[in-house]
Amino acid sequence: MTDLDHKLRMRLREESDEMLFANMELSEQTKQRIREQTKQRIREQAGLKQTEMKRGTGKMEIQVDKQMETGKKEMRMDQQTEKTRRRSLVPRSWRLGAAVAAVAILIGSGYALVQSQNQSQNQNLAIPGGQPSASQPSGGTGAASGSELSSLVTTPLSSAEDAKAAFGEDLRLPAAAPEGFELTERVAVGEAGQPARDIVLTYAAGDKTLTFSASRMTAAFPTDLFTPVQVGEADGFVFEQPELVELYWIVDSVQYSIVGPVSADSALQIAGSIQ
Amino acid sequence: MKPAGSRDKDNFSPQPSEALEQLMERYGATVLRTAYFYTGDRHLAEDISQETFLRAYRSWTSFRGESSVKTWLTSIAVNVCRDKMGVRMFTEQPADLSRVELGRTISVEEEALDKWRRSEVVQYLLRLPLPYQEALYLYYYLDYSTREIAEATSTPEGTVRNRLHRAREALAREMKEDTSDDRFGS
Repeated sequence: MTDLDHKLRMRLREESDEMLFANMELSEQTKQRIREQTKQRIREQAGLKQTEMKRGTGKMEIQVDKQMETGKKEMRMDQQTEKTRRRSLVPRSWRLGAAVAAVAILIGSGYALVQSQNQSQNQNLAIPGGQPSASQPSGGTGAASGSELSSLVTTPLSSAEDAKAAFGEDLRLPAAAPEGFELTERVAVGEAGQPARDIVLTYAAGDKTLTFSASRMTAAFPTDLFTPVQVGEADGFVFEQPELVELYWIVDSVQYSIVGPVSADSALQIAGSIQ
Repeated sequence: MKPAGSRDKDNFSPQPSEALEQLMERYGATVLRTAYFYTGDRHLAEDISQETFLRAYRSWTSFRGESSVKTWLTSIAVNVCRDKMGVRMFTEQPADLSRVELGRTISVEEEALDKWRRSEVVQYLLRLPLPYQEALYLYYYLDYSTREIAEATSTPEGTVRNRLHRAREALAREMKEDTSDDRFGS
C-alpha cells in the first residue's frame, strides 16, 4: 500500500466515523429483536421436528427431547449472554473525541494530499486497468469464483456451444478473438443448479487482457461518465480512457460488455462482430 | 496482512446463538454503518442490520471460514443493501450536500456544519456516483481487497479495479476543483 493510500484510508475512516456515523451503534432494541427472531426460529425448528418424530418410534422421541433440550439450552445461553451484554454497554464518547483530534491533524495536511493524489493518478494511468496498489490476490480479471461470499460457482467451458447450453440459446458471442488477442478462458458464473448468470470470455495479448461478458444482471455503471453509442441496433454506453475502454450494451435483456486496453472504435468493431 | 480466515472463525463460538452475540457485539456498528452508508436512512439501516444478522445466524454453521468473519458478515450486509436498493443503486446520481444533510443525519448545528465543510474526503466522496462511493467505501473503509469486492458485489474483478481507479480519479477531481475555488485559501 502506498503512503497516499494509507492516508486516504485513515482519513476516510476518521471522517466517516465522526461525521456520518457519529455514535451510531446497533441499538439494544434491534439486538433484542434479532434474538427474539432467532429464538422463534429455534422453537419452530424444534416444534417441526417434534411433529415429525412423534410419527416415528420411541427412539426418535428421545431424540426430539434432546433437540428440545438443546433449543432450551440455547435460549438460556441467550438470556445469560444478554445480561452480560447489558453490563458491557458503556458510553463511547471517547471515540468521538479521538476522531475530532485526528481530523484536526489531518486537515492540516489536506492540500498535500490533493497534490499527491494528482501524482498518484499519473502513476495509475501508466498501469493498464489502474490497479490500486494494495495487495491483490492473483486471478486476473476473472469473475467471482464460487466462494461462500457470493454463493456463485464458476465453471470452465470448452466451447461456444457449452456457453450457450449454460446460459441459453439467446447468448451472443464473438465469432473470433479480437485482433492480436487469444482466448485464454471461457467460464460460466452462476448459482449452483441454476442457469448461468454470466458468461465471461477472457482474451490475452502479452500482459494485456480484454474481457467480454454477457450477464443477466442489471446494468451497473455510472451514466454520467459514459457516452451513448449505437451497437448495431442496440443502445450502448462507452467510457474511453487512455489505457482502458469499457463498452456496455443490452440486447434482449442481456447486458454485454467489452472491457480492455483497446480504442472505443475497436471495442465497437468487436461488438459489431458478435453473433 | 490479513489473518487467515479459518483462524478468524475459530475466534468465535461454533454455537450459532453464542456466535450471534459475538457478531453483534464486535460488528454490530460496522454492519449498521454499512447499511446506513448505502441507504442514508437510519430506520432502514436498522432493518437491514437485523436481516443481516439473521442471515448470518442461519448460515453460521455452513460458513467455512475461508474469509475473515468481518468480510463475510459485511458482505451479507452489502447484499441485503443491494437487494433493498435495487436499481436505485445504479441509477441515482448523487446530490449536493443537501442530500447528506437530509438523508444522513448530520446535525444542523453550526459547529457540525462547519466541521462538515472542513472535511477532507467524505464531503467529496458523497458527491460521486453511488457505484464509486461503494467501491471507495468497501476498499478503504471496510478494507476489502478488490477480489473480495468482486465477490461481494458479483462484479468481475477487472471491473472493480477499474471502477476503483476511476473513483479515486473522480474523488481527486472533486477535491482539486474545490481547491481551485480557494477553498484552502491558496
